[in-house]
Amino acid sequence: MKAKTKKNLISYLMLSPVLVFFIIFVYYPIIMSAIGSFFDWTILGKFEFIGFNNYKELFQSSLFRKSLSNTLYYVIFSVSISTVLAFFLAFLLNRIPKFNSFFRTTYFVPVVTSLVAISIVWKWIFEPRVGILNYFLSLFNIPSKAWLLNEKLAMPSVILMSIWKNTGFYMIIFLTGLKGISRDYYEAAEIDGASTWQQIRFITLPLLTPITFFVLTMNMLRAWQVFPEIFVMTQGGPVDATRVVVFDIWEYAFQYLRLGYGSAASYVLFIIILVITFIQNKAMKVKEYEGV
Amino acid sequence: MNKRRLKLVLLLSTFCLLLISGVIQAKTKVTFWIDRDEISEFTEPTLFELVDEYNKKHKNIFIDLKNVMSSGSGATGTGSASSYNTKVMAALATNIGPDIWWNYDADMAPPIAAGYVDPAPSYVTENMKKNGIYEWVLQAMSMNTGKVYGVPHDVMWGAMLYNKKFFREAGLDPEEGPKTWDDFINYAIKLSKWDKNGKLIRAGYSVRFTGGLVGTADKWAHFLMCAGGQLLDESGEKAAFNSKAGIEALQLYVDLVHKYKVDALDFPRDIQAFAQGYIAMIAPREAFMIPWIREYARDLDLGVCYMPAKTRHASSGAVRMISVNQNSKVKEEAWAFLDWLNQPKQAKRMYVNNKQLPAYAPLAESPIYDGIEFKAWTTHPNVIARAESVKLGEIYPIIGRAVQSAVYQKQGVKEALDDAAAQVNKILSK
Repeated sequence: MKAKTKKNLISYLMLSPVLVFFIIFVYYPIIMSAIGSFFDWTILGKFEFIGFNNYKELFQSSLFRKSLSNTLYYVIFSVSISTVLAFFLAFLLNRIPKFNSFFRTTYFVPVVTSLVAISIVWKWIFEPRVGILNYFLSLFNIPSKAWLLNEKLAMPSVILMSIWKNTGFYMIIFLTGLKGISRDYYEAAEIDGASTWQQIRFITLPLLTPITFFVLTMNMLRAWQVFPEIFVMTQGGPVDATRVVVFDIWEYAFQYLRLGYGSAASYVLFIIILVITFIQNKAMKVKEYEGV
Repeated sequence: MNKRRLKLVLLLSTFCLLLISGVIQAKTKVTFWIDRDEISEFTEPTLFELVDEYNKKHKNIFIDLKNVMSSGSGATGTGSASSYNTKVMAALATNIGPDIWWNYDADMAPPIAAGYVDPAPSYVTENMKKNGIYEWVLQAMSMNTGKVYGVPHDVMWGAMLYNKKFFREAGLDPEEGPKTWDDFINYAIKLSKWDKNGKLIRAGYSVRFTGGLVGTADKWAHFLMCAGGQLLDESGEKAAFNSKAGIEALQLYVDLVHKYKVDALDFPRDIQAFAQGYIAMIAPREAFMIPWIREYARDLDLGVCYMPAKTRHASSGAVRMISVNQNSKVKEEAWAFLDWLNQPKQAKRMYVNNKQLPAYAPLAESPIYDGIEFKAWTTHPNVIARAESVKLGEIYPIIGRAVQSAVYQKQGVKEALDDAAAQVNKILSK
């Protein structure tokens, strides 16, 4: 056996346990749920081919449409606010030399904490009677609110929590990008009399374009799949005000045991995410700048 | 040691090991799953004690009682029932399920419909009848199929809890709860408190319309039944909750919140809030709330009365049952154990000693239930099984959503109920 072939063989052998793991736990379920979405499939044995009926039922379901619009609402506000905030914090941290690591750690701590644990903590923060948020507002004579029980406030409350949880992660990515921008550009701009805003607009933002697209893509992927915080904090309520697509999938697949319907909903979500990511990638290629 | 002796020692050791393992294997193992996060904290220790006792008495049988929800997911405040249920279903589907398992009647419905639950042998059913099991409990465990699919572990039905201290403050007789819907509305108004801005600070009655949809439907079902209605028709194949009684019951909910303002959409509405004095009256379905209140809210002066009547006093009943896996290889042993568990002596320990509502009428005669707080439960008229169909698990959330939709004024009362009835009928017709 040639040395190169032997080396390749060893590499394949070393890779095979992970490959087997991926085949069993990732690719098989993906393929199986694609097939299952065309079947009347319950966890307890029923498996009858029904063509596109699950998809038809899905698009006729007002509940699914409500879940989609709620998810879109969550995505728009959660992604936009956390991305802008992350950039802003990264920009400030990049400029402030003192206590830099302290602030970086402080903002990053929520990222490494369990989402379920954090959701329970925030549920208590939002508690109408003994919650710390209402107590804080009462110091300014602002009347208390039932954050998670009011249909208009429930989703913004969940969004607020997720911004707090995720901003630190995107801030670190922006910070890495900012560190990669040469000081020379800013010095040259300062000599030319550019203001801070002009430096951000004409130097920082263009050079950070690939990073911004990366952050947006990652943030969108996360946001479309929002679930644990909804499950723990609101269970999709009140009156479905926080019902999101993954909650819909979970409820149909694991509460009502309709795996076929749940699979169809999963594939609709998958296609939405795929299309958005594709568009973002295309847009990024068009707008890509060199120099970072 | 020479070689021969060594061989002899090895041979003898192997023989002894085989003998020991043979003895161990000779015991028939019956696996039994429970969900610690959902099962009553008061009955669980007794269940373990009884299983130990049974194992000691029966040398050839080993009941392997396991809590399969050790994750403590109940701590999230979302309950672990759904996770436990998914675990059981997945195990049943892949043929690695337990021989017997504990669950809510509604959650037992899908495996019953799919043929995964063994119907009780006639001697088990006969013994339950002989021991005086409530008729509605048997009905709940049969789900309109004509067969009984388990034995009861604990049973739940509704009654009205109230705070006597608030009754005295409002000039109401603390020994008499509201008897009719008119009384109920008047009492709720008198018991409510608002601040100077008109903001509710104490709910006269806590209308359950948030949280889990099954819980929402369950509590509303009490009022539906008090108005003379029922969830499904006699055949169990058609929705009946969008009747005149259903409309009256849901209108009452809407009026309590929007017309009489004895509750508010953003007001706390759980048993903890009742224990803390934010609520004057509440109608849970679980009598184990009473030992809970006694344990955690000792100063609360508790009153209990029947569910107030529109046309009758009535209450929706549910059973948490123990069933046997149809594919179990030890069905006979499993049923023998469950039959033993439901004999009067064991049932008394399970229910009476733990102050739980009994599934057997003679046990309700026990002096332990003589106190006013239990008498209203044990003598409650018209306890009606909620489990009228094996599709209950799918139906209840639809009803719960209709209740929420009407109370949040997303839909009119009739429209919400008619929409829900159409969805339920579609499911039932499949």
